Amino acid sequence: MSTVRGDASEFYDLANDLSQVGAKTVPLARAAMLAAGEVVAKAWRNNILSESAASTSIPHYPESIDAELTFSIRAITVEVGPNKAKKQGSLGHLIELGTETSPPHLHGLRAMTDNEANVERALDQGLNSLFG
Amino acid sequence: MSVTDDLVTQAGGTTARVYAIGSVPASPTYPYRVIGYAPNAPIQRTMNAKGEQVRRFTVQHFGRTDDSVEAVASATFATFDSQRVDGDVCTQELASPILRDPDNQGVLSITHTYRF
Repeated sequence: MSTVRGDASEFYDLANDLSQVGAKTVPLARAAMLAAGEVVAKAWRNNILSESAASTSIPHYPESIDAELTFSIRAITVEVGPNKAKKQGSLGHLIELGTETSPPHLHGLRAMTDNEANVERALDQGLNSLFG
Repeated sequence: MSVTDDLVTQAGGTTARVYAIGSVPASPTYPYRVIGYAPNAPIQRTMNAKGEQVRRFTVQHFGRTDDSVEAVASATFATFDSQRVDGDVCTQELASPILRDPDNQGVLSITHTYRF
Protein backbone atom coordinates (compact mmCIF):
# COMPACT_ATOMS: atom_id res chain seq x y z
CA MET A 1 0.00 0.00 0.00
CA SER A 2 1.24 3.44 -0.78
CA THR A 3 0.25 6.69 0.72
CA VAL A 4 0.45 10.03 -0.96
CA ARG A 5 0.84 12.97 1.29
CA GLY A 6 0.41 16.53 0.15
CA ASP A 7 -0.42 20.01 1.22
CA ALA A 8 -4.20 20.17 1.63
CA SER A 9 -4.31 23.72 2.91
CA GLU A 10 -5.72 25.05 -0.36
CA PHE A 11 -8.47 22.47 -0.21
CA TYR A 12 -9.37 23.56 3.31
CA ASP A 13 -9.21 27.20 2.26
CA LEU A 14 -11.64 26.43 -0.53
CA ALA A 15 -13.95 24.58 1.85
CA ASN A 16 -13.89 27.56 4.18
CA ASP A 17 -14.57 29.91 1.29
CA LEU A 18 -17.53 27.84 0.20
CA SER A 19 -18.95 27.89 3.70
CA GLN A 20 -19.02 31.68 3.43
CA VAL A 21 -20.74 31.66 0.07
CA GLY A 22 -24.21 31.05 1.42
CA ALA A 23 -24.22 34.10 3.62
CA LYS A 24 -22.79 36.32 0.91
CA THR A 25 -24.90 34.98 -1.92
CA VAL A 26 -28.30 36.40 -1.04
CA PRO A 27 -27.41 40.12 -0.91
CA LEU A 28 -25.15 39.80 -3.95
CA ALA A 29 -27.76 37.88 -5.90
CA ARG A 30 -30.37 40.50 -5.01
CA ALA A 31 -28.10 43.28 -6.21
CA ALA A 32 -27.27 41.37 -9.39
CA MET A 33 -30.94 40.67 -10.11
CA LEU A 34 -31.85 44.32 -9.55
CA ALA A 35 -29.05 45.44 -11.87
CA ALA A 36 -30.28 43.03 -14.54
CA GLY A 37 -33.82 44.32 -14.05
CA GLU A 38 -32.65 47.91 -14.42
CA VAL A 39 -31.02 47.02 -17.75
CA VAL A 40 -34.35 45.77 -19.08
CA ALA A 41 -36.34 48.66 -17.56
CA LYS A 42 -34.05 51.22 -19.19
CA ALA A 43 -34.34 49.49 -22.58
CA TRP A 44 -38.14 49.29 -22.12
CA ARG A 45 -38.30 53.05 -21.46
CA ASN A 46 -36.07 53.75 -24.46
CA ASN A 47 -38.30 51.65 -26.70
CA ILE A 48 -41.31 53.73 -25.66
CA LEU A 49 -39.47 57.02 -26.10
CA SER A 50 -38.26 55.99 -29.55
CA GLU A 51 -41.86 56.18 -30.76
CA SER A 52 -42.70 59.80 -31.43
CA ALA A 53 -46.36 59.42 -30.45
CA ALA A 54 -45.32 58.51 -26.91
CA SER A 55 -44.36 62.06 -26.00
CA THR A 56 -47.85 63.42 -26.67
CA SER A 57 -50.27 60.59 -25.91
CA ILE A 58 -48.55 58.79 -23.05
CA PRO A 59 -46.03 61.29 -21.63
CA HIS A 60 -45.93 59.72 -18.15
CA TYR A 61 -45.91 56.08 -19.21
CA PRO A 62 -42.13 55.75 -19.70
CA GLU A 63 -41.48 56.81 -16.12
CA SER A 64 -43.88 54.16 -14.86
CA ILE A 65 -41.52 51.42 -16.04
CA ASP A 66 -39.43 50.24 -13.11
CA ALA A 67 -37.68 47.22 -11.68
CA GLU A 68 -38.59 45.91 -8.24
CA LEU A 69 -37.21 43.02 -6.27
CA THR A 70 -39.74 40.66 -4.79
CA PHE A 71 -38.82 38.44 -1.91
CA SER A 72 -39.68 34.93 -0.98
CA ILE A 73 -37.94 32.21 0.97
CA ARG A 74 -36.86 30.20 -2.05
CA ALA A 75 -36.47 32.72 -4.85
CA ILE A 76 -35.07 36.09 -5.73
CA THR A 77 -37.20 37.69 -8.39
CA VAL A 78 -37.13 41.02 -10.11
CA GLU A 79 -40.32 42.34 -11.64
CA VAL A 80 -39.85 44.73 -14.53
CA GLY A 81 -42.67 46.66 -16.13
CA PRO A 82 -45.27 49.37 -15.74
CA ASN A 83 -45.89 50.17 -12.08
CA LYS A 84 -49.63 50.68 -11.67
CA ALA A 85 -49.00 52.99 -8.73
CA LYS A 86 -47.33 55.46 -11.08
CA LYS A 87 -48.98 57.78 -13.61
CA GLN A 88 -50.22 55.92 -16.72
CA GLY A 89 -48.72 52.68 -15.40
CA SER A 90 -52.16 51.07 -15.53
CA LEU A 91 -52.07 51.42 -19.33
CA GLY A 92 -49.25 48.89 -19.48
CA HIS A 93 -51.01 45.78 -20.71
CA LEU A 94 -53.07 47.77 -23.24
CA ILE A 95 -49.94 49.31 -24.74
CA GLU A 96 -47.77 46.22 -24.55
CA LEU A 97 -50.30 43.70 -25.87
CA GLY A 98 -52.59 45.97 -27.90
CA THR A 99 -56.34 46.35 -28.10
CA GLU A 100 -58.92 46.09 -30.85
CA THR A 101 -57.96 49.57 -31.99
CA SER A 102 -54.22 49.54 -31.37
CA PRO A 103 -51.49 47.03 -32.21
CA PRO A 104 -49.23 45.34 -29.65
CA HIS A 105 -46.16 47.53 -29.14
CA LEU A 106 -44.10 44.89 -27.32
CA HIS A 107 -41.79 47.50 -25.77
CA GLY A 108 -41.04 45.14 -22.90
CA LEU A 109 -40.70 41.94 -24.88
CA ARG A 110 -38.32 43.64 -27.29
CA ALA A 111 -36.36 45.11 -24.39
CA MET A 112 -35.96 41.65 -22.91
CA THR A 113 -34.95 39.85 -26.09
CA ASP A 114 -32.68 42.66 -27.29
CA ASN A 115 -30.82 42.70 -23.98
CA GLU A 116 -30.34 39.06 -23.13
CA ALA A 117 -26.56 39.45 -23.38
CA ASN A 118 -26.58 42.61 -21.23
CA VAL A 119 -28.71 40.89 -18.58
CA GLU A 120 -26.34 37.94 -18.50
CA ARG A 121 -23.41 40.34 -18.16
CA ALA A 122 -25.05 42.19 -15.27
CA LEU A 123 -25.74 38.91 -13.47
CA ASP A 124 -22.25 37.64 -14.19
CA GLN A 125 -20.59 40.79 -12.87
CA GLY A 126 -22.72 40.78 -9.76
CA LEU A 127 -22.11 37.17 -8.89
CA ASN A 128 -18.43 37.07 -9.88
CA SER A 129 -17.48 38.94 -6.74
CA LEU A 130 -18.55 35.91 -4.74
CA PHE A 131 -15.51 34.03 -5.96
CA GLY A 132 -13.26 36.98 -6.79
CA MET B 1 -47.87 37.74 -51.53
CA SER B 2 -46.39 39.37 -48.45
CA VAL B 3 -45.28 37.40 -45.41
CA THR B 4 -48.31 38.79 -43.57
CA ASP B 5 -50.60 37.46 -46.30
CA ASP B 6 -48.89 34.06 -46.04
CA LEU B 7 -49.42 34.00 -42.28
CA VAL B 8 -53.07 34.97 -42.63
CA THR B 9 -53.59 32.24 -45.23
CA GLN B 10 -51.81 29.64 -43.10
CA ALA B 11 -54.10 30.49 -40.18
CA GLY B 12 -57.23 30.03 -42.28
CA GLY B 13 -57.73 33.36 -44.03
CA THR B 14 -60.75 35.59 -43.90
CA THR B 15 -63.16 32.64 -44.03
CA ALA B 16 -61.79 31.71 -40.60
CA ARG B 17 -61.97 35.40 -39.62
CA VAL B 18 -58.22 35.88 -39.64
CA TYR B 19 -57.16 39.32 -40.83
CA ALA B 20 -53.94 41.19 -41.46
CA ILE B 21 -53.39 44.16 -39.20
CA GLY B 22 -55.16 47.16 -40.70
CA SER B 23 -57.57 44.97 -42.68
CA VAL B 24 -60.16 44.17 -40.05
CA PRO B 25 -63.76 44.88 -41.18
CA ALA B 26 -65.44 47.85 -39.56
CA SER B 27 -67.85 45.60 -37.65
CA PRO B 28 -66.12 42.25 -37.30
CA THR B 29 -67.88 39.10 -36.16
CA TYR B 30 -66.43 37.60 -32.97
CA PRO B 31 -64.25 35.76 -32.39
CA TYR B 32 -61.62 36.91 -34.84
CA ARG B 33 -57.86 37.11 -35.12
CA VAL B 34 -55.45 39.82 -36.26
CA ILE B 35 -51.93 39.05 -37.45
CA GLY B 36 -49.10 41.57 -37.54
CA TYR B 37 -45.62 40.78 -38.83
CA ALA B 38 -42.40 42.39 -37.55
CA PRO B 39 -39.52 41.67 -39.91
CA ASN B 40 -37.03 43.66 -37.85
CA ALA B 41 -36.85 41.44 -34.80
CA PRO B 42 -33.31 41.41 -33.39
CA ILE B 43 -30.63 39.29 -34.96
CA GLN B 44 -29.33 36.61 -32.61
CA ARG B 45 -25.57 36.81 -32.97
CA THR B 46 -22.93 34.29 -32.07
CA MET B 47 -19.56 35.16 -30.55
CA ASN B 48 -18.06 35.68 -34.02
CA ALA B 49 -20.78 38.21 -34.83
CA LYS B 50 -22.52 35.93 -37.29
CA GLY B 51 -26.20 35.31 -36.97
CA GLU B 52 -29.51 34.84 -38.65
CA GLN B 53 -32.40 37.21 -38.79
CA VAL B 54 -35.15 36.09 -36.44
CA ARG B 55 -38.61 37.23 -37.44
CA ARG B 56 -41.55 37.82 -35.15
CA PHE B 57 -45.28 38.09 -35.62
CA THR B 58 -48.14 38.77 -33.28
CA VAL B 59 -51.60 37.23 -33.26
CA GLN B 60 -54.35 39.04 -31.37
CA HIS B 61 -57.45 37.02 -30.58
CA PHE B 62 -60.68 38.86 -29.78
CA GLY B 63 -63.91 37.41 -28.51
CA ARG B 64 -66.97 38.04 -26.41
CA THR B 65 -66.70 34.88 -24.30
CA ASP B 66 -63.73 33.20 -22.68
CA ASP B 67 -64.54 29.91 -24.42
CA SER B 68 -64.46 31.47 -27.87
CA VAL B 69 -61.26 33.39 -27.36
CA GLU B 70 -59.55 30.34 -25.85
CA ALA B 71 -60.65 28.23 -28.82
CA VAL B 72 -59.21 30.54 -31.45
CA ALA B 73 -56.00 30.95 -29.43
CA SER B 74 -55.63 27.16 -29.31
CA ALA B 75 -56.20 26.97 -33.06
CA THR B 76 -53.46 29.55 -33.62
CA PHE B 77 -51.05 27.64 -31.40
CA ALA B 78 -51.74 24.42 -33.31
CA THR B 79 -51.25 26.20 -36.62
CA PHE B 80 -47.93 27.83 -35.89
CA ASP B 81 -46.04 26.36 -32.94
CA SER B 82 -43.35 23.91 -34.11
CA GLN B 83 -44.59 24.25 -37.68
CA ARG B 84 -42.78 25.53 -40.75
CA VAL B 85 -43.50 29.14 -41.58
CA ASP B 86 -41.99 30.74 -44.67
CA GLY B 87 -39.21 28.16 -44.71
CA ASP B 88 -38.28 28.29 -41.01
CA VAL B 89 -39.51 26.52 -37.91
CA CYS B 90 -41.83 28.70 -35.88
CA THR B 91 -42.10 28.66 -32.09
CA GLN B 92 -44.39 30.46 -29.71
CA GLU B 93 -42.65 33.14 -27.68
CA LEU B 94 -45.33 34.76 -25.51
CA ALA B 95 -48.95 34.04 -24.64
CA SER B 96 -50.88 36.53 -22.58
CA PRO B 97 -53.67 35.60 -20.21
CA ILE B 98 -57.21 36.54 -21.20
CA LEU B 99 -57.51 40.30 -20.82
CA ARG B 100 -60.71 42.30 -20.66
CA ASP B 101 -60.88 45.79 -22.13
CA PRO B 102 -63.29 47.75 -19.92
CA ASP B 103 -63.18 50.72 -22.31
CA ASN B 104 -64.36 48.58 -25.22
CA GLN B 105 -67.54 46.88 -23.99
CA GLY B 106 -65.56 44.24 -22.17
CA VAL B 107 -64.05 42.61 -25.25
CA LEU B 108 -61.76 39.75 -24.27
CA SER B 109 -58.39 39.22 -25.86
CA ILE B 110 -55.38 36.95 -25.87
CA THR B 111 -52.16 38.01 -27.56
CA HIS B 112 -49.55 35.57 -28.84
CA THR B 113 -46.14 36.27 -30.28
CA TYR B 114 -44.22 33.78 -32.42
CA ARG B 115 -40.68 33.78 -33.79
CA PHE B 116 -39.33 32.03 -36.83
